[in-house]
Amino acid sequence: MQIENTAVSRKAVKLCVSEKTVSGKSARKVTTTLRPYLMVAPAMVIFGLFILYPIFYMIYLSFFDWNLIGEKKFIGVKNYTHMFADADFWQVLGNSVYYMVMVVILQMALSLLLAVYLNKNTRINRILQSIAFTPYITSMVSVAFIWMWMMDSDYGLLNYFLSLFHIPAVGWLSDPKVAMTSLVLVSVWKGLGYNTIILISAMQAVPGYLYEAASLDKTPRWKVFWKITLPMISPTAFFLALMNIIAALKVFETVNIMTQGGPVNSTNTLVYNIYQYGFEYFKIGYASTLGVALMVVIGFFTLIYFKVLSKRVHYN
Amino acid sequence: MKKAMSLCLVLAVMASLASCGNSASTTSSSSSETSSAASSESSSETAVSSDAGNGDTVELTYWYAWTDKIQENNENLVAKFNETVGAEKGIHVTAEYQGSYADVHQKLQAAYVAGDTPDVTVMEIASIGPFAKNGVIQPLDSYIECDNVDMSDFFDGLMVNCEVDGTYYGLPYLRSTPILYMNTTLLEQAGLDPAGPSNWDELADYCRTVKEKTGAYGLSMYSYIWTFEAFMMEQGSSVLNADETACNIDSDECRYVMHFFQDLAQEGAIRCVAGEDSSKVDTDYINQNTAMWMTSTANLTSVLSVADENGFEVNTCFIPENKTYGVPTGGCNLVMSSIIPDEEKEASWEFIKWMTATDQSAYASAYTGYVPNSKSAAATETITNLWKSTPQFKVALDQLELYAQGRPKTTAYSQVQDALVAMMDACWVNGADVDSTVAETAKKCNDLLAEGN
Repeated sequence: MQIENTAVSRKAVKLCVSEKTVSGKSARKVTTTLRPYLMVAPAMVIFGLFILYPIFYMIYLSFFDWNLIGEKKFIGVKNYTHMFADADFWQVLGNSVYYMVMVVILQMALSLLLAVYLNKNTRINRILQSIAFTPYITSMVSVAFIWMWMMDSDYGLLNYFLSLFHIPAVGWLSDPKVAMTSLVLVSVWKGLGYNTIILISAMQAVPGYLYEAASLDKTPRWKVFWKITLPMISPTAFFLALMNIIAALKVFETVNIMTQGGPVNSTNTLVYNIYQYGFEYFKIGYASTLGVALMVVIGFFTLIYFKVLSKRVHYN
Repeated sequence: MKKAMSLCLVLAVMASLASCGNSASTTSSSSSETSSAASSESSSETAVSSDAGNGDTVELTYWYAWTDKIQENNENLVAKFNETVGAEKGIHVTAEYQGSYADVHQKLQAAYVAGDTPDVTVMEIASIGPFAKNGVIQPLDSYIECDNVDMSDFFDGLMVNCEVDGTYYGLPYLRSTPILYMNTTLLEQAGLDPAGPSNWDELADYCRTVKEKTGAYGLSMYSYIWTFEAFMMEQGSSVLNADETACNIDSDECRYVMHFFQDLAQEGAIRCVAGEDSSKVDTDYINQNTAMWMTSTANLTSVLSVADENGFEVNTCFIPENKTYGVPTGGCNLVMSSIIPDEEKEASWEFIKWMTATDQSAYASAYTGYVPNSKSAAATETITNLWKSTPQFKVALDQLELYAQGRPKTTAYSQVQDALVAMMDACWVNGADVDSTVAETAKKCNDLLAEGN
């Protein structure tokens, strides 16, 4: 080890010396100012190429009528006026928001409960933790197919259980009133383990002396949770909820596999709608307009969330 | 900045699709042992050729859709082409599977943008309009004239979707019509004539009787745009008007169709499932949970083998008549790309011409259940023998010759058909009010059609 170290440092010294002698002071100054930019350059090039450029190109395309293969036709804000006047757009937006709100609330509430329950370092809890985490590492496509089978209205497992209690069959994915909630269930089931694990790790990072102090004061357990645990894990919970909001607004796989936006458009979400316009109807201009709308919606909810909740988060 | 990810998806997918156009060239032609079994009369009617002299082989890429029998048919025919006409004229075709028709169309579009298309591809017949109008596919008139192809030999009903504004862009390849399939074992159990219902009143009676006597559904169907087109034709109407500028949805004919099946569904005599649940119809007929169902003629071979395995008999008949008979045609044509070099266009034309010629059409028809595309193909021994052994095959062709019509070709139709499927879902599956749903849908479709023109 030591030998290696000295070798390295000797090399470094050599480098420094040569730099000094060959190019002098000013050149070294240029290198030091340039160096950080060079370091981040690869990341920034990728970021620019795959994130910034597509965003601006999408905004540009949203002012055109284009089917990918013909001429691009500039049509000003017509795509936008059409979007705002289109009842379908508002339905799709409503679906997305409903899905997001349900997923985030259920996800956070259930994962918090589960985290409190599993937050003990016993063997059974460690096993339960891994079990709860399994859905997260399963591919969304397989999860969607399995739930599709369980939710089948004729041969599905869920309706079989209902029939045991003489409850009439539910059209989990075929009833427009129920289908969206079914998708919410799948998503919550899939994400629950991940959220729980993150929350548990946050809980275990809470310093023990806080709980010791509380127990000396004979504080009731719910109050310990409310006054100590919750504030201490709030940065993590805040971050998780934000990630859930963004992920839920971007839902695509379950919709594409399980319902394809049906029945009667009841599960059509913004991203699926973008896909439909882009690749089924070949209206790239309008799909880009919807893309801009999605960006604005996500930005809007993120902003609101920061404004309303960030004050309540306790950072050390 | 995570928010932008989903938008990048669009571009990323485009890029990845475009890049898979020209890579695989080794895999497909190796499955040749199947082709020898198939070949009986090798065709060589294209003997008079000009470019036999030059030594270089022209490499062509051919995209096709679907797996199973249809895939085997494609691979067999391509292998046979490469051995016979292709070898003679210095053309080698590589067939590449691409997924469903929608996949083929999406990939073709991306490939065209990238400037690297396949030479020849199958194209679902309703999509020929948008691709032709945007110049993606090559007009074939000059080739047809040059080679004196007898276009009158093809069945008329198939040609509507081969031309756009009076110019041919494709030749009919694997074409079909919807037909009514019947589990005659169930029909006989219910005391019904296994020849099938001949009009809509009889169809309703059949459904009720089957339900009453056997407990199975009379008919199982999903919200399917293709059969809906047939239902409208049978009222003497059509989904769109003649110049495709407006729809005929807000009409007594459409309301009649919607009420007819809604009533039967609510009585429990038939089962209607949503558009995306189409596989339930298959489950129903396989489990003998329904006596009748409607699907493409292309499924005939597989239906017959399923019936054989599960111990019931199957018959086929026309989609029953109401005011008249009528069905749309379906399936795909062969088209060629407009942006390939002239030399490859010549070669592609040879391939398209061969693939749609009499013997190949007869072979494909017998192998899959698609209809023969021409009168001469229908007269071949392959087909006449087939009709003797399995008369069910003949129904589709009779229906085609007598009553088949084209499908809408306007660009807006892809979106219109989604609206119509949603209408069927609402009325037949979820019991929505017919009159108001029809009126809403009609307005939506008319807006889309007006916008598209």
